[in-house]
Amino acid sequence: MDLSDPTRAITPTLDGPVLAVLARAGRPLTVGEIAEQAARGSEIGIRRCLARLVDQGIVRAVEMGRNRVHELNRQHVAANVAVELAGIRSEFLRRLREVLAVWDLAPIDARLFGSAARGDGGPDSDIDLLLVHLPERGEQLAPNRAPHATGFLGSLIDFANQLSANSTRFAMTALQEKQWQNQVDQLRGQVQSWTGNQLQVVDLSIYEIAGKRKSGSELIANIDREGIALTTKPTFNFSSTSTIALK
Amino acid sequence: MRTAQSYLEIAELVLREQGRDEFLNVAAGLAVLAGIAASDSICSSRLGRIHRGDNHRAASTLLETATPDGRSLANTFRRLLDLKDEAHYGILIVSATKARGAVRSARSLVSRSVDEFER
Repeated sequence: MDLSDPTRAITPTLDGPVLAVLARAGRPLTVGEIAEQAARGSEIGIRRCLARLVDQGIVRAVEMGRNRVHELNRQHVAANVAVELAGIRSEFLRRLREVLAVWDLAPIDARLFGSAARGDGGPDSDIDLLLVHLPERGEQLAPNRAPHATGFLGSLIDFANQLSANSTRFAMTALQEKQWQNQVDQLRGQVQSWTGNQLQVVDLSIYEIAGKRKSGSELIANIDREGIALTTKPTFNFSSTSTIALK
Repeated sequence: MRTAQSYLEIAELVLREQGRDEFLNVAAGLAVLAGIAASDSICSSRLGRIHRGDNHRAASTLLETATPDGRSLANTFRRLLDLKDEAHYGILIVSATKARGAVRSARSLVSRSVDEFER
């Protein structure tokens, strides 16, 4: 699926992106405004498309001053299809969040980044996902972490410092490492069946992402800038003597 | 299959070196290459064809269909591919745990490619 224009999964014509724009809009739009917001299509093409949709009754055209504006006819029996077209991307994000929220071993952080987050990929683009998990067995927090990091990395470093100060009982067990791997493998299959695209995972422990900043700064800066958070901030019970509570 | 074995041998050699952090990236990168070559070898032995092109994830889909346990092989291969950009382009310094895991995954794929070749 082309996440820059998911309507292509349903229709190759301009009807898809035009209906999606009108369904998202809260007010009537001129042809120019629709062309500006639509994922594809020239103004001429969009004008022709709108004329066809007006004929079908799903779009209303109204003269407003000197402009002709268009809006989705939300009473039309097919209007819900337009609303669905506008929500394909949101539906994908909703499913990702839903799946991650019920993982037995919850991620500390999960962020969609790259073309899928920016919305500028193509039908063959991989879907990039950052997953942050608990430290692995025997793993230590490296000393070269960036002490003044801000954004999501700053929060993760704070958390890594707290974990590190609370001894190694918060590391994953061998069983949990296997369980984590199975969850990620399963997610790959789910994302492929939802979209047809391959999932590319940057799978890091909290100590890895907090510890090695010099060479990874560009990737982290990109994730910070364009990343879409998929998890809510988990709550942690540091006083627990058992495995850390991540949900 | 021999290419896969060679990449793996060098990956194991580099993994034992402890001079610089970057050696971990090199070891993981070589493990990824060993995995790609092993995947091609398994597909060639079983299906008589391999995936052409740079999209190795598409190759993992072919591997999934190559053997009865192809799904498990493809998952191992995909975990290696996740490391590809990290390891090759130095986006991040690959941790020792992850580099060891990559070499272990590559070893299982290469070993399987040898079995398939000798069937």
